Amino acid sequence: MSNRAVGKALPRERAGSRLSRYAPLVGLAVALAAAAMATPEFYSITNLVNVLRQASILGIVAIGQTFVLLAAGIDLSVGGVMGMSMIIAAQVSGGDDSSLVAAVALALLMGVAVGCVNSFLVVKRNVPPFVATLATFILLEGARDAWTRGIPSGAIPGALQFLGQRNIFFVPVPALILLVIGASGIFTLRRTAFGRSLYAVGSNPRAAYMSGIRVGLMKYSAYVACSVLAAMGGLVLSGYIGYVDRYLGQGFELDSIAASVVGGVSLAGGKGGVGGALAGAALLAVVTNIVIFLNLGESAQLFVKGVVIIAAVALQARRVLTPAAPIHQGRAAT
Amino acid sequence: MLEANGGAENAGIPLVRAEGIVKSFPGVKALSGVAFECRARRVHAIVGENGAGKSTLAKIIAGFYQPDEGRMVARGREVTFGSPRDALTAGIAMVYQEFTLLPHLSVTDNIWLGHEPARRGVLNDANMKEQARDLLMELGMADPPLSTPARRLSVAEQQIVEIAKALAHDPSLLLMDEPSAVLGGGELDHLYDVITRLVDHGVGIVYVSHRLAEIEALADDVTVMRDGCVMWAGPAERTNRSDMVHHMVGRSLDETFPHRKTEVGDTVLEVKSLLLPGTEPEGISFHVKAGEILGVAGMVGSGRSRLARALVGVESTTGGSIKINGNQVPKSGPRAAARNGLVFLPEDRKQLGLVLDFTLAENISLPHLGRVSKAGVISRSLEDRLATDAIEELSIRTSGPQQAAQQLSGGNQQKVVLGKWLAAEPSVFVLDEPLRGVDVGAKAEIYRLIRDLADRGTAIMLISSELPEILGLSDRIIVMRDGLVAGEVASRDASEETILSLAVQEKSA
Repeated sequence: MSNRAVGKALPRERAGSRLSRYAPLVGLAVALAAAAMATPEFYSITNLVNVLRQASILGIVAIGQTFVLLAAGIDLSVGGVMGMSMIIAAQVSGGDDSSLVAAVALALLMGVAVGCVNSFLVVKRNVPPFVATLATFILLEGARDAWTRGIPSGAIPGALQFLGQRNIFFVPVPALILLVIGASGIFTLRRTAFGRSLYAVGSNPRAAYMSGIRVGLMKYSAYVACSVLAAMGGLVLSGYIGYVDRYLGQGFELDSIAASVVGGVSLAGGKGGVGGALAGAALLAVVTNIVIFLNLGESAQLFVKGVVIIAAVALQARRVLTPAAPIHQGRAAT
Repeated sequence: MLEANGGAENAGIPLVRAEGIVKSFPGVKALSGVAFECRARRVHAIVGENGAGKSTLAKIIAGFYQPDEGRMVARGREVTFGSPRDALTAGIAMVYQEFTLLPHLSVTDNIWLGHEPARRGVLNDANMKEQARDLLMELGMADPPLSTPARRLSVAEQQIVEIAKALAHDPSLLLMDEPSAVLGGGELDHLYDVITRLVDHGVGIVYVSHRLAEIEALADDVTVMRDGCVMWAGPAERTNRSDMVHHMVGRSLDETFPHRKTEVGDTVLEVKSLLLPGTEPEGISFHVKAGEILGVAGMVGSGRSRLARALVGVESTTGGSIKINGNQVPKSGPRAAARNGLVFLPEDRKQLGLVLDFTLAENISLPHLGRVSKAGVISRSLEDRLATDAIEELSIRTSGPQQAAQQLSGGNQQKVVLGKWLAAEPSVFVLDEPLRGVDVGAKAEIYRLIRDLADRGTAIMLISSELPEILGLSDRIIVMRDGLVAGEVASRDASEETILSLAVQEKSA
């Protein structure tokens, strides 16, 4: 064939261009360089391990969020799921390792249940994902307060604290957990029929349906995966913090969405991947850490986060508006 | 609008002249040094295959795109349009090929969007409605659905509203990009009437189309484009259809349809009293045999596409049965239909046929993910083989299986959709307007593909608005009207007249 030269093949990952593919990594490099100049303390081993731990917990949740975003959904209930999962761990186990298995199983089961409710509302009742997951979020908050009367009791079992706090050769355990989940996430999205179907559903649900893809089932799976990962994230976070209160998990819904979007996952569905979301999570954790070192207070944290997100989204939007030019076949034949 | 009393001195002044227009998009030069001129009181047709650059040229004149090089003169003054709004101010309006209506706004609001006739900022509702009604009735809508949201309109109705929206700007130059693509016979006649009337009033029309018959009937001037260049331009009387085709494709085209090679076999698809809501109590009954091409004709809105969608379970039905080789096909959706050997090529290629972000290989394997994967993991080599087979069998012009679907031309995109379903080795293939938006060169190839498919024993149902296509390809034709089968004719006994008379017959009381 004489027409090999026509039209670059797209990269395997569904990122729009090379720029957007590497943008989160470039952003991360810039943030790390900025850290070196502004706050040299950033590069102490203790702090690096700490940042990695925080990034890992956010990363676990962001992977789930990415699955939902890819299916053109959004999940605002992850923070609620994390909080509920921590309280289940504390209340059920009462800090005792012997009932740990039951507590973890119950927390994960709660994740499955929330994912089912979210996707039932979205798939069967046609509720916009934003509204459906906001409703379950409020429901979870209410249920938690009703159960604990606002003051959670119990304690985090020691085994969970191992998951949250320990290091293995300077590598925090949450990072190892993330490594396993992240690798399976990347493999699932890039190599499996399920991953391909999920991208198809997010890119063009109608064409996917016409091609015989079970669109509803894909959405169910994405929401359930997201809630279960959020429940796991909650367990690791509770082990890290070592106690429970009613504020834990707060803000993770927006942080996980921000990490994904900063990492190139499209809010419109069908574009991006786990790798980008993890880079985004790392970027957010680093930026937050720098701001804390600079002693600028919580409001400045939010402000800087906002700036990073706006910059990322602006870069993405520019890409969407660039018209895709058709390649003419007459040209291709020469 | 220019007044009719402008008289003879008005006739023929150039409303717009473009010189040396160059426009590139990432990776492709869409226009390389194009000159174009449209005069008042003239219909200037731009013809060419898909991707020739005709839409790009029209969009530059309408201010939608900005040229990289070249100059434009509108009524003697050099102009630079930064946006469609600038062009509208200069009296240049355009009817785009892609629909631009806002789905949730009413017809009236869509027509006046952006230039609402307001007095001191307050909209004059009654006035807006009245003028919108006048415009739509001129375009042949008997009872314009003024308050209906645009999303509830049929494709043909949307097109008419698009035209009314452009006319509401009172343009002195009106550009129309493939306005006839989705209109049926009656609506087309109204469109042609309106064009004639506008021309009488001194308006210049730029008419982008690839339907040569319509160009012969309408155009005063013709510009033929290929690969971003003007191949021929001049008055319509100095060219003819075969010359135009020659300039468009750079070669003469054998426009005859391929002939069947084998006999038809046993009945494969049998549909009995299928009830679409609103067509009770009779329902639709017909059958298609192995190796047979059943043409389905009828006006836009006669229920052809609804029937096709009902067969694959996308359109709801209230009764009736669909059987393939005697087995009942569940009406639960395309997945169940495909498992029973019934596949469907939808009319709307970009919305329903393809995932444009996907590569060619990924589009082709989408209905066959189970087949190309082992234990849920996709095998790249199996997937590429499936795609390479389709590329070869359908001679898809592409850089390879990894090329993005959106980079392909319309004809090649259609071949990808065909290839995706051919890989399913269907017993019944339902094709809804398979040749719409496909350029002349690819059309002949797709005709042959459809014929070959039938010769290999597939039962084919072909829906088309183009009567020559139906007549040329089908073995047997059913004509639909008001959601029911109005009649059936053998292809050798049929003519455009017999089909049309069945399609438009008055409802008997």
